[in-house]
Amino acid sequence: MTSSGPDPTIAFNSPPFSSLSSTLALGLIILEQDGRIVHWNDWVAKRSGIVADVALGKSLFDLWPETTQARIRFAIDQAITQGQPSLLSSSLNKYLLPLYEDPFRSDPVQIRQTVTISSFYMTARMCVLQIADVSAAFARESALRVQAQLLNESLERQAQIMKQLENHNDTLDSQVRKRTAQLNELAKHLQDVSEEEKTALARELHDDLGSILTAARIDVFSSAKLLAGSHPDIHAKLQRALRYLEEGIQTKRRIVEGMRPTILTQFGLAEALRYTAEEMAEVSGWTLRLTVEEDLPLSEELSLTLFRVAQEALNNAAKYSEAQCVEIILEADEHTVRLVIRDDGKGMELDAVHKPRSHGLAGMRSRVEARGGYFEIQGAPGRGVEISVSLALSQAE
Amino acid sequence: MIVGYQLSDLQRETLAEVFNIAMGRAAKAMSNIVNEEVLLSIPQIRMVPRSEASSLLGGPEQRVYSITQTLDGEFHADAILILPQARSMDLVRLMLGSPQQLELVTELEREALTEIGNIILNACIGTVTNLLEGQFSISLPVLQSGLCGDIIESHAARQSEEDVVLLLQIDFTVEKHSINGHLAFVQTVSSFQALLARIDRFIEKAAQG
Repeated sequence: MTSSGPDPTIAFNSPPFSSLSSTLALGLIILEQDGRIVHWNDWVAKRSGIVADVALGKSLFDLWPETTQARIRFAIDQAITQGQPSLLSSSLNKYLLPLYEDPFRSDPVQIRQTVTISSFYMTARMCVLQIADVSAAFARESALRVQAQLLNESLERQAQIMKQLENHNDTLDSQVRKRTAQLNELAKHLQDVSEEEKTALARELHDDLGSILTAARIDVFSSAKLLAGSHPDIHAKLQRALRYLEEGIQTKRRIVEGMRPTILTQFGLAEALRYTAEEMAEVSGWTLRLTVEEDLPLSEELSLTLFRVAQEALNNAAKYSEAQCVEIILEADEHTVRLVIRDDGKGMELDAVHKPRSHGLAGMRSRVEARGGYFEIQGAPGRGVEISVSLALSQAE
Repeated sequence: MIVGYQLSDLQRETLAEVFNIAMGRAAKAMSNIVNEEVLLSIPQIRMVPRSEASSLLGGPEQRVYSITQTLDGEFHADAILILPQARSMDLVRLMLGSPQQLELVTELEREALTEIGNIILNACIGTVTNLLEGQFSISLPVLQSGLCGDIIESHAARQSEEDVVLLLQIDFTVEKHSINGHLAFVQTVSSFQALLARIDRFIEKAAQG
C-alpha cells in the first residue's frame, strides 16, 4: 500500500502543515508503519532536546530505546496494525516519554504527560502521537492531597484531644464521686459518734449527776425542815439552796432531753414532731398544720436524722421567719420517707444557703446526704422557706 | 422482540471464548501497568434491543461512568464500557495506589479510568474487527458520567433503524476488590447480522481446521 501518493516526510514538513503544527500547544509525532518518524513538531523538539532534523527518518524506538519494552510501544503497534487508538494516562504511566521542562539542565525535570496514540490513512496506516503536558494538573492534585492529608491529620488530632479530654473528665468525675462517697461516709460516722457521745453523756448526767443532785436535795430539804423552828436564818438559806438545786435538776433534765430526746425513743417520730412543733408554735405564735403519718417503720438512726432536721428547721423558722403559719408533712411510701417543713415567713435568698451563718442548713444537708438521702431547700424573699427531705426506708449499709 | 438477532448457543459460546481470550490479554496489560494481579472475565453474553439494555444494566437511574469508542467502516457501532459509579473510583484509586483519598474525583483519576476503559474496549473491539476482517476507524475513548438510561439513549446508532445491543457482562477484579461492569456494542440489526454471518464462518473454519 506504499506506492502512489505524496511522500509523508515532505507533506508533513512543509507548509501549511508544518506551520500549523509548530503553533500547537501539544506535542505531535507522526510515525510510519515501521515506526520511522515523519513528523516531529517544535513542542516535542523543545522538550526532548532533539531537533526535527535529527529525529526525522529515525525509528522512534532507536531514538528513545526506553520506549522499546514499554506500554507505549505496544500501543503504537496496536494503532499501526489494528487501527486501535489508545490513551496513556499520566497517573497510570509514570514516565512515558523522555520529555523535560528544560532538557539542557543538569538535572532536568521530566514532564508529566498524557499521550494519545491513534492512526489514520495516508498512503499507508500512519500513527500519530499527541502529547499533553499535565504537570500543572499533577502539581495541583498533589497539593490538594497534601492539604487533604493535613486536614485529616488535624481532624484526627482534634478527635484524639477530645477523647483525652473526655477520659480526663470521666476520671475526674469518678474521683469526685468516690471522694463524695467517702466524705458522706465520714460525716455519717461523725454523726453516729457524736450521737453516741451525747447518749453516753446524757446517761452519765442522768444517772450520776442526777442522783447526786436528788440526794443533795433530799438532805437539804430534811435539814431545812429540822432547822425551820430553831434557826430561821439558816432555814431561809437552805430554802434558797433548795431552789438552786431544783434549778440545777431542771437544767440537767433539759440538757439530757436535748442530747437524747426521750420523747423520740419512747413515743416515736410522729409524737416527737408533734410535741416539739406544738411547743415552739406556742412560743412563736404560729398556726400549725401537721400532716404526720403514725407508726412508720423507721430505724432509730433514721428517726433521729429526721427529728434533728425538723428541730433545726423549726429553730430557724422561730429565729428568722416571722411566719404566721408552719406546716409539717411526714409521709412514706413503700421505699421512701419524706419530711417537709414549710413556713409562710419572709423567706430568704437562696444564696444565703452558702453563707457562714447557714451552718444549720449545711448541717441538715450533710446529715441527710450522709445517709444517702435527698435534701432540698426552696425559698425566695417574701415567699417563705420550704425544706424537704427524702430518705430511703431501708438504708443500704 | 426483533426477529433474527438471537444468538444460537454455538455462536454465544464462540463469542464468549474469543472475548475471554481478549480479556486475558487486557488483564495482563493492566497487571503490567499497576504491578497488581488484574482479573477480567466475561461470564455472560446477551443480545437485547437497545430499549431493554439499561434495565439489564442495573436500571436507567443507576449512576454510571461510561467510556465510549466508536467504530466506523463497513458499519457503525458504539462500544460502551459501563461501570457503576459507586465503586469504580475505588478500583481506580487502588490501581493508582493514591495515598490520600479525596472526596472529589480528580481530573487525573478520570483520565486513568478512561485509560482502563480504553484497554478493555480495545481488546473487545479488536476481537470484533478480527472476526469481521474489515477496515474500521476507531475513535479515541471518551469518558462520561451520568445516568445509565441517558447514556444508553445517547448512543442510538441510526435513527431509522432499530438498534440492538450485544451486552457482555465483565467481572473486573484488582486485589480483593471487584466490580461488575458491562460492555455494550450498540449497533443496527443489519450490522449485527453481518457479525453473526462472520461468526458462523469463523466456526466453520475452526471446524475445518
